[in-house]
Order: sequence, then structure tokens, then C-alpha cells
Amino acid sequence: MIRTLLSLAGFILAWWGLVVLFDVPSYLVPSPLELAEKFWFLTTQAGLFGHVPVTVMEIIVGFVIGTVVGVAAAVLFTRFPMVEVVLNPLIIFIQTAPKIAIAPLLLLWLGLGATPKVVLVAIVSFFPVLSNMLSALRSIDPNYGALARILKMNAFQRLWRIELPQSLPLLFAGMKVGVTLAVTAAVIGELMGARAGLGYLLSLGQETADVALVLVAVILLSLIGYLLYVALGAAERRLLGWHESRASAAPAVEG
Amino acid sequence: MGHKVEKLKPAEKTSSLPVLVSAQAVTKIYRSRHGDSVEALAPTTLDIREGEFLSLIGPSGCGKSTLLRILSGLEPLTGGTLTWRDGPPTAGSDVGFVFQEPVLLPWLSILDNVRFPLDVFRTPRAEANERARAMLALVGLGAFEKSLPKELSGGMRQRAAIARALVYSPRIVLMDEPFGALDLLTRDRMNDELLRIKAETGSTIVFVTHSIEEAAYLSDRVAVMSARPGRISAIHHLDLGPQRSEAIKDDPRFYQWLSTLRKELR
Repeated sequence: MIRTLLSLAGFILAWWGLVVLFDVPSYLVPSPLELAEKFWFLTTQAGLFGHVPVTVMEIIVGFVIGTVVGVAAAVLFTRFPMVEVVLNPLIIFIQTAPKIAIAPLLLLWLGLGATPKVVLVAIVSFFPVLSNMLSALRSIDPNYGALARILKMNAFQRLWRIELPQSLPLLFAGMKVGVTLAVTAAVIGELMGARAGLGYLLSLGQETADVALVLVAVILLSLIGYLLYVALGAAERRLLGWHESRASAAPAVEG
Repeated sequence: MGHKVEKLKPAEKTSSLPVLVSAQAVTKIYRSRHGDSVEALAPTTLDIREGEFLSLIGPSGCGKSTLLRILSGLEPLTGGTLTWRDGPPTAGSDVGFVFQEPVLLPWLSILDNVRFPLDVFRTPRAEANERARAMLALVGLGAFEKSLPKELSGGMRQRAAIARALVYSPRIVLMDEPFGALDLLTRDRMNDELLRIKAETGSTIVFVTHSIEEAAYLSDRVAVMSARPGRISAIHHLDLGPQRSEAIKDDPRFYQWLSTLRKELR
């Protein structure tokens, strides 16, 4: 934590030094102080904190939907291979299509509100979750399936008591990829057309050549992405203490 | 049956026990995608008796694991019949299975792992905990109930797996080379543990191994199997007495059996 703060402080000092040293005009690169002033102005006068929750909600709601649908699809695919045979070409087609190209369509269909952004976020976070969850479910040692059959576990018990916990390490890897994509997707959606959100502020800053506004939005977006990533990491540490990747203890006693 | 059994010789003792499951001409034929078929198990007839320790021994591909999996219900048979004394297993609690690997759930503590089948069967928690703890004590893991599987050695994990298979008192316990992945010293110790556990629980155990010594040391009966097609080529009652211990390994009869079995496996 201290190291993070130190490197952050170093970065700000270097930025400030360069701006002062080369006398960079503030309409190109504002100094940290000017940026802080802008931030204060936006917060107190321009309702910045109305824009932050808009984007955060789009990211979280879309990400949760994408994750849940991704996990459910992976479970369906492994249970009913026919579903995968039928749906896989379509999914690969959507997956390989650049998601930015879908954004205008979503906006045309769903308007300028939060819905098209949520859908876009859900779509981009769906794929890494789906593919990681699929390989997780497929790489479960068949002996666990045999154990489940010996104990005559039903499909739900197998899923809840064996397959989901077993898949968590890879699922988290997929979610971590998904959450960073989710931030990008929300911004892209908002850049293309929105009345609120940090992406809207970005385009506003671009149109009015307000570098400070753009920088504030960028910093806030990075911060949101970072915090979501850290939250996922904390959940992962809490849930995956048992996993080999977190192994600390060697076998305690021989016997 | 108590005192009468004691007077009989071990071989007769085993054959006087009631038959728990009877396999009549069971076969297993695998069909490949091209339509070729492989006979993994030629028609095989075998009675497994209540409370006995029966080993299936043989080279790779002799169908010993296939036979075990047929008995467990994991593998459907392609021919023959399997008759259980009290009707075929219906509940999951009828069969206990120990794999070559422990197959523990790595996110559950050792206690939770051993209690796992009881949780699946919805046994009340207090009773389940009590039975799981008793079983952990039986396999010598009483002090490790809070440990995670990754914190235990291979031998200890396999003990937990055995405890999990025994915790619901199944009608039969099937073991598929349970000590095959352990080093020799641990394996010897586990064999003694298994004899002790068997003596205390009276379980019926069918044990697959390719170690002649392990089979001779543990078993009341040994079924010798051979490959292509997989079949039982001989069944022996070992007259080494019901109480086994290290001392038996110095008994000339034990050596006799080792050499008999070795010749048959050639």
C-alpha cells in the first residue's frame, strides 16, 4: 500500500515537474493542481458525481448479467452437447465480430439510455467467462463424476457441490478479463451516444477541447476498473484459499 | 454364527459366509466408433461373500478395474447378471468406492470431506458430524479434521478417502488400486491400517491391485485375472488366518502363496 502511494506520488511529482520545466500550456497538459481544481469544480458545480454512478451501474449490472449468462451457458453446453453444436457457430461469429461494431446497432435499437451500454457490457464480459468456465468444467477429473455417480448425486448437487467450486479458479480468471473489458465497453457505449456517464464527459471534453475534463474522466474510469479488479481479487482470495495456486503449507505430517 | 466360524479353517470359513453379490457370466464389450469390438471382460462368474476381503489381481488390461466398476454400477454390463442378496443397490449409500487418487474436494476440510456423502444423503448435521468424527478417529486422522487436503501427505489423504467411503456403512466397499500411487513404506503402513479398519468395521471389501504381496497379505480370497480377453483364471482361498500382521510375512505359507500367485500371473 505504501509502495503504491509512493509510486503515485512520484508520478504526480514528475508530471508536475515536466509541466513546469517545459512550460506546457494548460490547454494541452494541465498541471496536477489545475486538474485538482477542475475536479473540485466538476464535483461541486457540474454534478460529476451524478455521472460516476451511471457508468458504474452500467458496468456492474452488465458484468453480472454477462457472468451469470456465461456460467449458465457453459453448464448447458457441457450438459447438452447438442446445444453447443447448434449455438457455437453463432457464438464464435459474435465473439469474433469487433464489439465496437455492435455498439451503434444497440444504440439504434435500445436508445440513448443505460440499456444499450448494459447489453454491450454483458456481451463483452460474457465471452471470457464462457470460455474459461467451459474449460474449467471440461478439465474436472472424471473421478469426480464417478464419485458423484457412486453417491447417486443429482444434477443440481453435482453442479453446486462439485462442479462450481471446482471451476472457481478459472471462472475468476475469466471474470478478471471480463471486468476490464466491461469498463471499456461501457465507455464505448457512452462515447457513441449518451446523456450521462463518464464516457459522455469524455466526448464532451473532446468537443470542447477541455483536456482537464478528459483527464478527470480517464482517471476516474481507470480508478473504477482498478477497484472492480481489486474487489474481484479480494473475493478470489477469500473463496480460493484452498486452491493449489495459493498453497502455502507443505504436507504437515507423513503418514 | 460366531463360535462355529472360529473352529473352521479360513478357507471354509469364507465359503460358509452368505453371498452378498453374485456375478453370473458378466461381460463387458466395448464398441469402437469403427464398429470393432473389444472384449474387456469375457463371461465371468464370481460370488462375493459378506464380510470377506477379496482381491482382484492381474496385469494391465485383464479387466480387473472393469469388473470392479461393473460391481459399483459405474459401468453397465453388456451381458450376464449381477444378483444382490438384498436387491440391487438403489441408494447411493449402498456402495463405497476408493479410487487410486484420493479424489477429495480440495475446498473442504478433512471433516467436511468425510462428511460429504452424509451431506449428500441429507443426514442431520449433528449425526453426520458424529459419524464423520468417529470415522476420522478410526483412520487415525482425528487431529486433522480442520486441515485442508493440500496440507496432508498422500497417505493421509488416502486415509481420508477410505473414511469417506466407509462413513455411510455401505454394503460393499470397492477399492481400485487405492495405494498404487503411494511409496512402498507408506503402502505397507496403509495395508496394516486397512486390515485394522476391516477388522473393526467388518466391511466387505473388493480390492483391485497388481501387487502380489499386497493381495496375499490382505485377502481372504484372491481372484487371479488374465488379459485378452479379461477373465478370472483362478480363485484362491488363502489359508493364512483371519488375523493378519507383519509376522505373517515371515510365514512359509505366505511365501508359498506369493510364489503360487506369481507363477499364475506369468
